[in-house]
Amino acid sequence: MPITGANSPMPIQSGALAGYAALRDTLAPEYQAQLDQIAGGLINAFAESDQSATPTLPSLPGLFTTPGATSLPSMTATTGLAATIEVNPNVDASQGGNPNLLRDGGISDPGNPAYTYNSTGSASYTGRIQELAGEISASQSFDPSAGLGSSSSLADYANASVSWLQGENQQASDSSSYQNALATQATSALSNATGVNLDAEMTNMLNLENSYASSAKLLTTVTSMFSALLDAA
Amino acid sequence: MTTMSANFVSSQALATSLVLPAMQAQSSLTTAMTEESTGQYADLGLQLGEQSGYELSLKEQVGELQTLTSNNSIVSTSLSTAQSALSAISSSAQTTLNDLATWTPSANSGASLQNMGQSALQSLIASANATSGDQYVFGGINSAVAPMADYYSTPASAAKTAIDQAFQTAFGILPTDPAAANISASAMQSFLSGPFAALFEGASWSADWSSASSANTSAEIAPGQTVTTSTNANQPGFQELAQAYAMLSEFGGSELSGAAQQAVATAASSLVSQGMDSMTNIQAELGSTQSAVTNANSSMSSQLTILQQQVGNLDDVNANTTAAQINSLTNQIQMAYELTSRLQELNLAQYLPVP
Repeated sequence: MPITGANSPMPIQSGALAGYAALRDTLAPEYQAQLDQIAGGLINAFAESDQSATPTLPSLPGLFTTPGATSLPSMTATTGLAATIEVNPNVDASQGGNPNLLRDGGISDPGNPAYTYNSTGSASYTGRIQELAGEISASQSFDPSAGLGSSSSLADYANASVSWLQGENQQASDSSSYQNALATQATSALSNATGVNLDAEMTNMLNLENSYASSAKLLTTVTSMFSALLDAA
Repeated sequence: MTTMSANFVSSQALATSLVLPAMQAQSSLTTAMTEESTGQYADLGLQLGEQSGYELSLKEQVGELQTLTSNNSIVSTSLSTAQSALSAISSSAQTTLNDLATWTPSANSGASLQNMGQSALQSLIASANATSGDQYVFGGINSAVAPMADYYSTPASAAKTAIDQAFQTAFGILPTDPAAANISASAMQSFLSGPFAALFEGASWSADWSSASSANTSAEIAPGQTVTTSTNANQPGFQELAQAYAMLSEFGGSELSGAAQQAVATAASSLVSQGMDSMTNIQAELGSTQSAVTNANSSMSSQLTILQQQVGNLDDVNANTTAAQINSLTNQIQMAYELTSRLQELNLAQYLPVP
């Protein structure tokens, strides 16, 4: 019988188990979807397009890519992108790439003139880098199912994701401190209902002791009265 | 026998009643001490909640402005380098112009023309190859290559070879040939304004004289404000001055007649003044970029102040408040300890006479 999740007939509403289940079923998947969307947006923002006079080739992943990618990711199918996104080895000097491609373009397909933005190889060519900087703040489309709308700039989308996460954080923290206070109240009420007060018990005991002592005293008196009577006879 | 009433308190509840408040105060105390020492909220995300994204976008803006400001200092340096090189070029042009004004053809006057031309051309090339950092400031976007090659190199530079060839084509001899004395002043004039002038324009200029790119560098000096931040050695001013100095250097000390030398000096003199005008224009253009950079810097700096203040409002804690909070928390904890120990003594058995 499931006590959490969609199939549960009577799911539990609060407590650690309910929290873990919510994390597993809704929060973590939603946050993952957002991270995947950010990764997809990043790949698309840094994509390289055909620079020929009459472009015929498709745009390809540039600075950011995933291993073995041969086309840009579709924004409606980004699951797992955030886990596989990487800096394109073609531009990574530690993997034998050429960092100058960041300035010149052609990261997607080094040597292919169609994707080369700086055709003269000039050292102070800044057109491509300025274009890339603009792309980060340019509006692009996202999958609305990740919960952060369907169109915004990459920077705004990432900020919105942080806002969402911290909003959930704040809510969870507020609800946790409320539950804590409730638990304290309940504990002390329970203790009051089922526990004893030592002072009251002590008083009761003293009462019993005293009545025992007076009973004994009474018995002693009766005994001595009988003794006196019998001795006189 | 237990008496159940609204006022009933179990001994257990009484004994532990202050444990939880003390623990809560302790945890608040660690948070407050972190905030006191860092000056910022201990858990910024928890504090700001949905505002976290806004805070991040403010910080991004601050970072962008700081980057632009530091980039602008590089731009300013390269602009100043270009300006001082242009001033050097102008002053050398002025000197040449003054010398030409006082020059008259005489027996050995050719050599003085040649010296004038040679030293001016060398200084022009040196100034045109001025660098800022490791970037040639007059190279356009092709800033990794020296814009002008040495004219007097051995073997002869492309520019020198081209001039010799043009002269040979026009007159069938070299300027150093004694027969050059027969060239008339008018023939010399038409050579200078025709085939010779063509060497300093368009494709010939790019092939023989200049490696600079005609595309100038550009940079974003403020958010959304991209300006041209350099000029290049393909500007008319460089071509006119190089032309004037090259003709003085090549034909001054030659076998040309006095009249032909006078024609050279006259042509050079008019080119130098044209070149100086062009240089002044370039200096004015660069100057307006320099002032644009300065303006951008001052507006960004005031923007930065506002943004940083805004960020501070969001994530800085008030040191006085935190200090007061720490004080009151410490008192609270001490009070809780004190009361707990008193409560322990609050026991009826303590007050009964020992039997």
